[in-house]
Amino acid sequence: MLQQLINAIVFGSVLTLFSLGLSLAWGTLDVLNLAHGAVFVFAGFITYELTKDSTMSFVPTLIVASLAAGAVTLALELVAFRRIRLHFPARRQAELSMLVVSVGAATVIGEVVSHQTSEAAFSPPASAFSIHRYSLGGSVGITNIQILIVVAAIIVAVALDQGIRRTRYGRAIRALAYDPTTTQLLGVNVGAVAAATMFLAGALAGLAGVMLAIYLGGEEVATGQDYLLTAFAILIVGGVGSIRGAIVSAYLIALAETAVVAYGPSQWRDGVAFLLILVMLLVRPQGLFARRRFQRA
Amino acid sequence: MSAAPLLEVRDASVRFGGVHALRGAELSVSTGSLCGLIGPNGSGKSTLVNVISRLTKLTGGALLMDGDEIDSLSADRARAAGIARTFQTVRLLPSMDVLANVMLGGATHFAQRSVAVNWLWPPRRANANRTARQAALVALERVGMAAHAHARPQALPYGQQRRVEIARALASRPRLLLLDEPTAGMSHHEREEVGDLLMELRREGLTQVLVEHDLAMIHRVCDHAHALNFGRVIASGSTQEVAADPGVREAYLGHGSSGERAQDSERAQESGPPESPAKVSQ
Repeated sequence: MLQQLINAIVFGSVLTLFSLGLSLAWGTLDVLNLAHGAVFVFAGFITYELTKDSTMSFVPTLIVASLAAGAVTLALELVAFRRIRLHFPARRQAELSMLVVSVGAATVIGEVVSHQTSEAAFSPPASAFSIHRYSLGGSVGITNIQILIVVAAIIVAVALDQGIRRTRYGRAIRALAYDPTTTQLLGVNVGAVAAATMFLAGALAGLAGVMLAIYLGGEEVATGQDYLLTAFAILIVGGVGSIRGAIVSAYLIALAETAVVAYGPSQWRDGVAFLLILVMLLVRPQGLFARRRFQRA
Repeated sequence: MSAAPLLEVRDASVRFGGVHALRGAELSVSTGSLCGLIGPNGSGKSTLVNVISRLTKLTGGALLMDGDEIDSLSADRARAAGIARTFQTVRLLPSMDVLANVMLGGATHFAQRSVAVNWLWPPRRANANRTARQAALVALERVGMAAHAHARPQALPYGQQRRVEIARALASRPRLLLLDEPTAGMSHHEREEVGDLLMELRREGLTQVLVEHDLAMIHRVCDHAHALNFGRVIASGSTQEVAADPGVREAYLGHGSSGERAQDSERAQESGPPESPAKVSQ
């Protein structure tokens, strides 16, 4: 029971890291980035590449892979999303185009990784990060990588939540989400803020990807899609654009999925996310922590 | 009026598809003056303000500040260069309190120099934040809204929301303030107060362009005025001269537009092409 709870918290932490980036891009820039899952796997792949010959130790790998994931997302923003935004005045039109572009990007990134790994699951060598298990009595235990994941998720979640609320960048991003035109007229370089936001979103996906690659011992291209689906459930349950909503619902969904796997028919696991999306859309479509979405004047 | 022009608009034209919003408009605003911009609805006043604040690109003509071409600047750069504006409709962010809204207006002040350095060096970041906060408080004090710094904008009466918008424009310490019908929808008393505020700012040396339907207001606060119709400046000079100009009288009286009706249709136009997000250059 306790072990299940620990597993759920660790899983929720990975989901938090993963879905915060998605939430940030969607909630503030209206970019529904379906390449987020592919970027996440890409970071796992970079981890594998950097560590397979034991060339790089854990911390530098973590940093390089996260930055690489951020760079890929930034490139997508500069090459595609920004142009689409400028080209379509109507947000709805832009949203659809971005969606299509991100599906394409996800495919390309996935193919590149597939090609490089010969379509097999790839695992960073065990020596890349020496996993140590601390026993908590009986069969219950927690590993150092699990602790690291939880701590990283907490730090990132608090920093992001407070950053958005209190810093000048945070204010700029909230203003941008609400009314880009006025925000630019107030002197905010909206292009730079959007670029920084997409970079951050990608780097968060990367961080989650590296952690998961080491935690699970391996990833494959399809992993990204599974996580993307769960992340959508998280955003809908939490309320799109709400940082706190994403954090709370990431842990809720992790708990629900872990419970199903442990005590129910485990093949229903993927159904949990869908069920929650359905229930939420029927009962409280704005999500648990609704950020009011305004129409611009 | 002997001072050199701070802002010059030369032969400005703007076309949206087949619609000529401006066709050869000329405008000159001298440093320290309070210049009125009048004209019936659809005459191009708002487009002209959008052009000066760099929201709308010129199709032809030139825009100069201190003699330098600024038509290529993006809206945020223009703000950094000292051009601030308010809007016909209140555009405050409901999710932030009044102080945060005004701080957003002061964003250019230090951020422009080196965003990266400010971010990576915490003392500088903290310092920039403190400075922005200080500037915002000063601006709120200036418009008499300091007591409401922590109120939510939507909890304030309309007239006070408009004052907050003026504070937000002042927070970046602009050299040129564009006011797009700042008193629209205000009571007579509130209009008087805003008029007093604009005259005070003028005495402190701030150059302003005031778009206004109310000729009495223009008369009271402005030193000179330009009248627009059909995208052209049809009269300019002292407020008396402009008001007495036969073309202006015809444009106003010929349309028989009462102030209220004119404002409504002008606002309806506002949501059209001139302010669509497509015009946000990044």
